[in-house]
Amino acid sequence: MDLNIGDSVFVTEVPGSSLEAIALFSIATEDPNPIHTDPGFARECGFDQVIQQGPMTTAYFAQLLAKKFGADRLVSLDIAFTAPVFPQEPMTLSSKVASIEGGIVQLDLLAVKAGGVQTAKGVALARLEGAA
Amino acid sequence: MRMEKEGYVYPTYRLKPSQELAKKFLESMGLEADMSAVPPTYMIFLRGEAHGVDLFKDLDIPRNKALHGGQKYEWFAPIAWGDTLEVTATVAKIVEKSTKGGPLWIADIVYDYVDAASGRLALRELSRIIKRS
Repeated sequence: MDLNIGDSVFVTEVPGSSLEAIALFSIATEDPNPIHTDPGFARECGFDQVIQQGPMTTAYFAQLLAKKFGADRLVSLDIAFTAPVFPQEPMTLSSKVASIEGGIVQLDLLAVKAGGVQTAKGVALARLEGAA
Repeated sequence: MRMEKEGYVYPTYRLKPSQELAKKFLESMGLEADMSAVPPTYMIFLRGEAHGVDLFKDLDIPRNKALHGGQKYEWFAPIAWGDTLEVTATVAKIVEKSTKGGPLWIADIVYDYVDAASGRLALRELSRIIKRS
C-alpha cells in the first residue's frame, strides 16, 4: 500500500440509522441506557429525541480501517464524541494520513453530519504491510 | 461525583464473544454479517454493567446527566470465537473542569481484556464518561 502524508484513505457516507437499528445496537452491545431507546428519557437528558450511540461511530471507523488495513494490523483507535447524532442523520466518515514512521501509519479521523457539524474526531494507528 | 473512586479496580469478570450478538452488532450498522472474525470493537465496556461495573451508581452519575465523551481501543492480540476474556475495569482518572455551563466531571475507565488461556493482554479499552452539572 503506497501512502503519503496528506493522502485520503477513505471518505465514506454512512446512512442515517433507524430507531430500530439504534435499538438493535443497544441489544448487541448490552447497553441498558434508555437514552438510545426511550424518547421520554432522552427529553429528560435535554435531547428532542433518542440519540445514536457514540460507539456506533467508533465501530464504523474500526470496520472501515479493518477493511483497508486488515483487522490484525490495527494498533489503536482513539475517538472523541463531539456532538450527538440523531436517528436518520447520515454521517461522512473520513481519514487522512498524518504521519508514517517505523511502519506505522497515523490517521486523522473525522465524522461530520449535515451542515458540516463535526460529531466525532480521532486518531488511529495501523501497521503497514511488511512492518513487524 | 465520587472523586475518591479514582484508582478503584472492579472485580474481574469473564466474557466470551457471542456470534449471535455480533451478528446483531453488524446488522444494526447495515453491514454484512461477516463472521470470519470478532468485529474489532465488539468487546465494549457496556457489557460490564451486567457484571457489576455500574459506573452510574458507583461514581454517582445520574444517567440523565451523563454523556459519553469518547473511546479508545488498543489491540495487542487477536480475539477469536471461543476465547474467554478476563476483564478488569479500573477507574483510571477523574477530573473536574470548570465551564461556562458550570462544572463537569470527566471519568476515564480502562478495561483490560486478558485471554484466559494464555494470560496475555489482548485488548485495552478506555471509555470516557462525562457528568454534567
